[in-house]
Amino acid sequence: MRFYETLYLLPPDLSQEDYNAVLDKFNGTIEKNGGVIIRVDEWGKKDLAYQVRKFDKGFYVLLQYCGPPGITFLLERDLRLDDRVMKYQTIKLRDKADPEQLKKELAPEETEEEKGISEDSGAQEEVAEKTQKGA
Amino acid sequence: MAYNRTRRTYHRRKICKFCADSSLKIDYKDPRTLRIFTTERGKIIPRRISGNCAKHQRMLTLAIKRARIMALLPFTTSVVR
Repeated sequence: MRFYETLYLLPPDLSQEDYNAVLDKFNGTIEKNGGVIIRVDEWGKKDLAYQVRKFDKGFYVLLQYCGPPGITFLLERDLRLDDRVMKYQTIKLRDKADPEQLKKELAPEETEEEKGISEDSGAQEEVAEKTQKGA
Repeated sequence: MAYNRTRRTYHRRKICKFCADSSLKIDYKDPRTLRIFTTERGKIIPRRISGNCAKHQRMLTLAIKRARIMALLPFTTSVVR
C-alpha cells in the first residue's frame, strides 16, 4: 500500500447536495478499488490566487488515502471526467504505508510527520475553515 | 588587480530559515509560509537573496510550484486586472 493525497477544487456555486455527492463519489472510487481512506479534510470555500473558470473562489477538498499503485490512475480518471472538478493534484507521501498505523498517527490531534513532505498545517486549516463557516 | 581588493563588500551571514527553525515546515498546502519566499509579483525569491540552503530551496521551489497549480499561490499578479 502506498500513501497518497489528492487535493481537488470544486466550483463555489455548487449546491450542498452536489458537493456531498461529489465527495461521496470520489470516496467511493477509492474504496471500490481497494483503497483505504485515511482522512478527508474539507477546507471550505477559499479564495483562489487566480481566476479558475472565471471564479474567484472554490471549495478545496483534501483526500488522504492508502492504496495499491494503480489507484491514482483510477481516481484521476474519475476526477478528469467529472465536470464539477476544476483542478486536482495527487502527491505520493509514502511508498510503504500501513493504513491502520497511519490512522493512529494522524488521529490524535495532528501528530507530526517525519517525512519531508508533511501536513502540519492541519490545525491552521481547521481554524480557517471554521472562521469561513462562521462568516 | 590589487586595487580591486581595496573595495570592501560587506557580507551579512544569511541563515536558512528552515534550518534555523525546525518547526517551520515546507508544505504546498500552506501558502502563508510560502508567500514569504515570493516577491509581490509572485516570483520565487532566489537563494542568494533569501539565504536558504540548497536542500530547502529545492523543496521550497517544488512546494511553490505545486501550490501554483492548485491556485493557492499566483503564477503572476499581472493577470488580475
